[in-house]
Amino acid sequence: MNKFYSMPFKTLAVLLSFALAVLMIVGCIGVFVFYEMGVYTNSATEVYNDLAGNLIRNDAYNILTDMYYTHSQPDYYRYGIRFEIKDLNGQLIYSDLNYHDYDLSYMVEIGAYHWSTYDEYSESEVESNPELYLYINSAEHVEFVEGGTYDDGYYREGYYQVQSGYPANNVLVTAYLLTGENWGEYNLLCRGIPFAFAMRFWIVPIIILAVIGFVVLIVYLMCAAGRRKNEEGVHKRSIDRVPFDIYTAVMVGIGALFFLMLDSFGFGTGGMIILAAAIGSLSYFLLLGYFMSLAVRLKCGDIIQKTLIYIVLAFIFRQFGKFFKFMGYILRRLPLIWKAALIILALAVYNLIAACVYDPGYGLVLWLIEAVILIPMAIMAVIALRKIQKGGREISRGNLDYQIDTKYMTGSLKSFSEDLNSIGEGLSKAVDERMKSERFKTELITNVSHDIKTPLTSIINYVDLIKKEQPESETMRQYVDVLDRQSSRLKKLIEDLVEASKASTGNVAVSLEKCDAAVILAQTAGEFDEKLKINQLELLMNIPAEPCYILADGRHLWRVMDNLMNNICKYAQPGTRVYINLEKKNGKVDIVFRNISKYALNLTSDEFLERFTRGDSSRSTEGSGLGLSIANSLTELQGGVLSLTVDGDLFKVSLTFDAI
Amino acid sequence: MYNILICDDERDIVSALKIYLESDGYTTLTAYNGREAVKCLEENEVHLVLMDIMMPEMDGISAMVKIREKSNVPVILLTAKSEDTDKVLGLNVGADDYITKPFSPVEVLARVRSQVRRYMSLGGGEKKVSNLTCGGIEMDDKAKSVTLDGEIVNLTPTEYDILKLFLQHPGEVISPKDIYRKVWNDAPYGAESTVAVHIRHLREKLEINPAEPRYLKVVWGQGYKLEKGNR
Repeated sequence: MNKFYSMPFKTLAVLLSFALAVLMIVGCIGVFVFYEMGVYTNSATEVYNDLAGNLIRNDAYNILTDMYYTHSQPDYYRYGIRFEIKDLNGQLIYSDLNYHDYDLSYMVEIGAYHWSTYDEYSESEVESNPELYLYINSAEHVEFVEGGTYDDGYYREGYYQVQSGYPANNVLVTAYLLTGENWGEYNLLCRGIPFAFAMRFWIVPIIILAVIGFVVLIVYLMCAAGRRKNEEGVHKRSIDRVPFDIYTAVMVGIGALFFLMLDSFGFGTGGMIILAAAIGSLSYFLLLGYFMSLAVRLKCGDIIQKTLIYIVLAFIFRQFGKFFKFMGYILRRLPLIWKAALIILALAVYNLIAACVYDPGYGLVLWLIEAVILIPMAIMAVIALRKIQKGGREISRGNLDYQIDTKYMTGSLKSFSEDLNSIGEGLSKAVDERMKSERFKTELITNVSHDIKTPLTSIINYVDLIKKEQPESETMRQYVDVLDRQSSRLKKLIEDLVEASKASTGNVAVSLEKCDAAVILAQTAGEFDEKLKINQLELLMNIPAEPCYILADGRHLWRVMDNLMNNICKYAQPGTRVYINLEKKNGKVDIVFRNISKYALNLTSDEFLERFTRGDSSRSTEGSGLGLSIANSLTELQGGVLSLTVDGDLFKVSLTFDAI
Repeated sequence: MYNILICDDERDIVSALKIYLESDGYTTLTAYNGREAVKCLEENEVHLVLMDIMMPEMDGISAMVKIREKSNVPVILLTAKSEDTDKVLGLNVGADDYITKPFSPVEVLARVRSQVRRYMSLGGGEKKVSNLTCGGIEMDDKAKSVTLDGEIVNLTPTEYDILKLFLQHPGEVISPKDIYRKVWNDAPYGAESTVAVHIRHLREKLEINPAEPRYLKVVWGQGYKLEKGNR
């Protein structure tokens, strides 16, 4: 398609379209003229008679008026005038004698003349040449009236008239065709009428074809506008860069000028027809150029943007935008206090103005304006505050994922909400990091302890085998005992380590069930019955008769009890009493363990709960130092609280759970 | 004379176990990964398998599945992982027992003895209908005697009564108070720990490792129950 967009093609199309346009216009005018002539409704003869007869009659009237009637006003309307037109050979070309129904009985033939005489020959020539002149005087029933000065004082030439007393009602004029005033027109008619009849139906398809061709060419030109041969895209000529509104205005101006020019010439003059044709052609090319430019602009899609009005308006709006932006910038930069002060000041001024208005009607209107603006703003601010309040509470409760909806918020409230949101994000990120590192630590401990367990198994087994070998020397036996003891301790230590790290990171499954604290204490007491006796400890339990139900995971709770009781067996002063109290009050169940320490307790209660802390800092006794830490973590996992009190040698641990 | 297959990639552990088991009167076969164990089982008559879980080439769980396709020989898994999920997985694919590393030789021997005895006596089918049984525990109420895997267990009268109560209600959780009421025929005021002490003694007599009982389980905060033995 691109190759048809070359310059020669386009030029050809423009010219061709012009030609077709002319053809179209001429064709349409032709059809109109034909229709007016009656070409489509009457026969050729009728048209001829109608048109040519009209011409001849007009001429004949003129001549007769000049020659005959001008001198005889009273007779002017007395006669119907009939014509015969003959060529020079005496052959009849036209006659209206049979045209209408006339009474021909008293027809007066007043003579004949050569049609051309009136125009082409001077009067003297005509008079001196009887060939050219009429022979009226030789006709019957015609008389000559002498010219002379009449009663009214006017001079009149002599003239012919129908004999007075002859009852003539018609006059026949025979004309011999030479040339006449309307000869050209008549000639044209004689040739034009057959042509019109030949063309009357052909002209319609010609017009239609011209219209189709014209439309096709215009479409092609619109498509081709802005395109070039072998090039992609739309190209603008310099005319296409002129702002469209200016272009349009210039075109309208030119159109107005043309109209004025046409108007200043009168209609129907020959000069005007030439001028109209010239102006029409020029207008056609200008309009075509205009529409092609329009097409280019539409293709570029910038028809609106490339108008002067748009450019100017855009510039103005940009300036306004900059101004408001600047004002906004200043307003935002103002500290909150200044902003508030400005708003209050503005309100005060506004209220002052409102107060100064005497007319109560206007005052009411001002008050309404203020209310309409201020009340929604106040409501918005309150809603925003409520959202912020809610968000703050959620975040403080630990719901770090909570996001305040900042839609419909503005200014300081919005930035405050966004800050709160990012606090939440930051916190949850930190918490996630921490969880991740704890989990990593647990995994590391689990894996390492797993790797330690295998060699430890060998050690324990072979130490046992050595023992079985019954070593001879006593020292050897002692050494093996040490190995035995320490490897067992290592085993316990590793197991505790894994458990402590899992419990402290919450990496254990907890299934809470209804448990009776009294039962578990009884069970614990039963389990430790012998061990306490070995350590010379007396257990005193104070357990209420009714059940004390709590929600706990029995196995984990047993682990807590086990650790606490093991601690007691290890660290309680032999020969003392150990107290276990179970109490239910205020919806809580308290389990309190009390014992007298073997060692001076020089650690705070918090330090006891840390990992690897032991009552004796020398670490000489068995135990990992993880017992209390594990107990604490497991209690927390079950939703309980483990608290520890040191009062002199009194060591007190209490577990608190919600009663159910 | 029973043949025991020991399978572990740690040669020191294999030889230690070999020494213990042989000194206890068993003959032993050894393998160092799962594939060897499966092969060894095909070629020899084996009465019990001791097998590690973490091994190269074929691990204990896969070997376990292979073995169970053909044989119902008792298998005790040795594992360094004390995760509950690993234990459950091992028992689900058909292991009869497991021992966590680091283990003590006494425990291994006790468990081996128990499994072998049970495996060998299963074929006999000489149980008397009147006897109360649960797993390896068998009670002859007329003779007032209790056997565990065929060996006589000496119980005090109270312990005997408590065990009888459990054998009559296998799988049920019984609270210390109910136990006291039914065994002592008395109001159970403040006597729960007495029950606990007796049950602990009973457990020490019936269980290989009283801290991890197979039969007489503690349901902490609720009571006790007797289970079928296969943990």
